[in-house]
Amino acid sequence: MNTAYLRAESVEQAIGWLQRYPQSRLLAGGQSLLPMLRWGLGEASHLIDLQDIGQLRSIENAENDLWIGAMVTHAEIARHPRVREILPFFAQVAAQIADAQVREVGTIGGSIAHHDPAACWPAAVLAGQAELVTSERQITADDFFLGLFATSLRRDEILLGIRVRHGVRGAYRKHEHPASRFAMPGVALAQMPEGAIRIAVTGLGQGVVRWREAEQALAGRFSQHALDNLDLPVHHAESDVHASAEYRCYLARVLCRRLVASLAGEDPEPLLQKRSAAPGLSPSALPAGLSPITSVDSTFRIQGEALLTASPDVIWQAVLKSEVLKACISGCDQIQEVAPLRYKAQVRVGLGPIAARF
Amino acid sequence: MANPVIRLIVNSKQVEIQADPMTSLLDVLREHCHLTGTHQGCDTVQCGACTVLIDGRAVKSCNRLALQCQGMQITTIEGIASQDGPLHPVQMAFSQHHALQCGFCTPGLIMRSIALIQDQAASDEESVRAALSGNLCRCTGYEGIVRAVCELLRSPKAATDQVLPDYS
Repeated sequence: MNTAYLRAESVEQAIGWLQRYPQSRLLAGGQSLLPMLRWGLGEASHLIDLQDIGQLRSIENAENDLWIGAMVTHAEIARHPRVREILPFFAQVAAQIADAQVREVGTIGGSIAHHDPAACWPAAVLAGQAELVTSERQITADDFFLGLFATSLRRDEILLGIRVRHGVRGAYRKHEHPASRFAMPGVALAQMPEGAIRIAVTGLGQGVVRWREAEQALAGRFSQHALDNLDLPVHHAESDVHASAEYRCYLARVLCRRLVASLAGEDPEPLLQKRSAAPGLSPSALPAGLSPITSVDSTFRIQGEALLTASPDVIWQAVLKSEVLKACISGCDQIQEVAPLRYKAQVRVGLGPIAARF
Repeated sequence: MANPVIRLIVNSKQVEIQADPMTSLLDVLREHCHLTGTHQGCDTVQCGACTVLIDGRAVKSCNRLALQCQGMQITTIEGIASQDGPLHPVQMAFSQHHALQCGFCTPGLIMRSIALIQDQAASDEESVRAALSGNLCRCTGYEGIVRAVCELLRSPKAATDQVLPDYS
């Protein structure tokens, strides 16, 4: 299909064209739509470019909420001082979208209305319970996203912008495709001004979804451990060349735990399934009171505590004796004092399939 | 229906062509203006080899219709230094730090780096790497690239003030 290009000067003119040309499509930044058209994944008789409509390009702070026009780019949101101050959640999301070049032209309204199943904004908008203001009405985010590339926008209805209430806080994390930076998946977690927690997951393959079971679990106890036994059902996800549905759901659980851990001030702990934390070192192999911990940088640490019922002097004298040390160190065959306070020890260590003496 | 007229200012020169409405800015630059320094890599908005400046902002030209840029200032790698004059400061830094191997990604990386230095948005190595994440180097020569950009960011402001071509 040959595509014509039109440039609207007003919302009314754009609506007129949408009604007149039933195969036409609105063009915002075009960062998702243009590749789709070029690869033959969609068709349009006319592209109606909205870039000249000034009213779609504003960011305004109202009495109770922040207004972001549909044609504001991701880069503008990321660096806008008022957004960074009032709604840092959205500035943080904007800064993570795609790459710098795409952020310069891609728009929030385009991303929301297009509803690519791996886009970041739908998750933030749904978690943050934004109001979507169109040429006809206001739609809450919960009623807006219907599924893969589907929204409740009517054929001749134009998204003008979004409103987000003051006091909405949140954070977003994604596991991104290394070239396109699309979310596979991404998790947005927001807290409403009155305290309710909302979680939205994008990049599963079917469009953005709320994870209500996790919201309920976190309402009772805001800790990563509230999510320990919670599965994200696989029927929410799709498999493709990049990841299986199961893996996507697993990643979403991991990302959600990490978000909660960072917001709750907890050390992130690995999502342990039936496998052990490290090869050959199952949690049960550790002495009571110790637990394996994987930190953010993937180094393996062991920490814990044990209470000894003796005075510090007695314990200090004990740990200075080589026989006591030898008995304390699991796998220690021999220990000898080579100089005052310097010891040489031989230890047997098994790590997975490898066993060695050191 | 006749093809629409596309008017651009490419490297300070007026360009007027007629092309299919779906023609990308990249195709106009390469096929109509014969400015082949802007490379077509993946053609899927990922590799960044086609990065040019549109009104001073670094954008991937494979994913921008030329008509969306009607009347705008486009700067390509050919427009940042004169043919027989000295290299642009970013080109100099890339040369000094061995920031190019096969050279395919280089024009895109230089245009992106110019915008980055102009914005002064990045300051340390980590933020430079994040800011350049939209440009892929298949030779994996990132060490030199990042070193070159970091050095330019540290250099006196006077040097970076002249980084962008004069649009006046």
